[in-house]
Amino acid sequence: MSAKYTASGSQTLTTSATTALGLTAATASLRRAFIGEFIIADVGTPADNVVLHTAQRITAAGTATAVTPTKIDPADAASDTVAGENHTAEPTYTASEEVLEVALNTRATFRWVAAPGFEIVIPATNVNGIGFKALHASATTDWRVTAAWRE
Amino acid sequence: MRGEGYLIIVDPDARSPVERSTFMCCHCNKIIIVKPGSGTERGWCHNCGTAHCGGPKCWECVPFEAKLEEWEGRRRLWQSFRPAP
Repeated sequence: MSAKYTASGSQTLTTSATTALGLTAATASLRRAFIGEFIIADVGTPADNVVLHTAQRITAAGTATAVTPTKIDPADAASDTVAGENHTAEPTYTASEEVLEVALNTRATFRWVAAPGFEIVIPATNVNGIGFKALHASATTDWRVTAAWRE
Repeated sequence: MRGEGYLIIVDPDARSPVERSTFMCCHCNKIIIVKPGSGTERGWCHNCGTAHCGGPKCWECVPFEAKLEEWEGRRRLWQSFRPAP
């Protein structure tokens, strides 16, 4: 049975897209990861702003604060996926490889769940993965992403 | 079409939560939100036996699994060029 993990990341909105959470395959232990769920929510002071959120493929992790993925089953080994939040240098996003784009009011909470077998796949390739980013022309509130995956 | 995913948007200003089925493009792994009556053109791949997103690159059948193997194969190729320790 595959092991399951979660990780969360926060970011402050700016006029250019900034990443709240990046999940990438680890150099030392390459294996595929399957993202089956993610939640996006504002954790600052929401207002009537529509923010564009994007989940997109990345080929370099950028500079971020490390997040230790939480094991859903404590008996499992540590995750082989590297998680980072609150990026100060953006990951390298692959053009035209958006997995999901959704325009979301900051007062709203978004949750996506995959049916088993229809998850977002992270390839077993060094520092390849998925980044969750957002932007707004004027709002500067904080937002947060939580993702759950299996390996 | 069977739902391959599900999304919910809970907006305190809305009367009720917005719920949608989603499906996964068999060629690019993109999440497509099903909006009945939207008029957005999607496609059907007879090879994969499922829907694709309708994006310009997805009308030719290259299963996503094949793309994954290509990405992962590239890494193996680079590693094979590294000098032995």
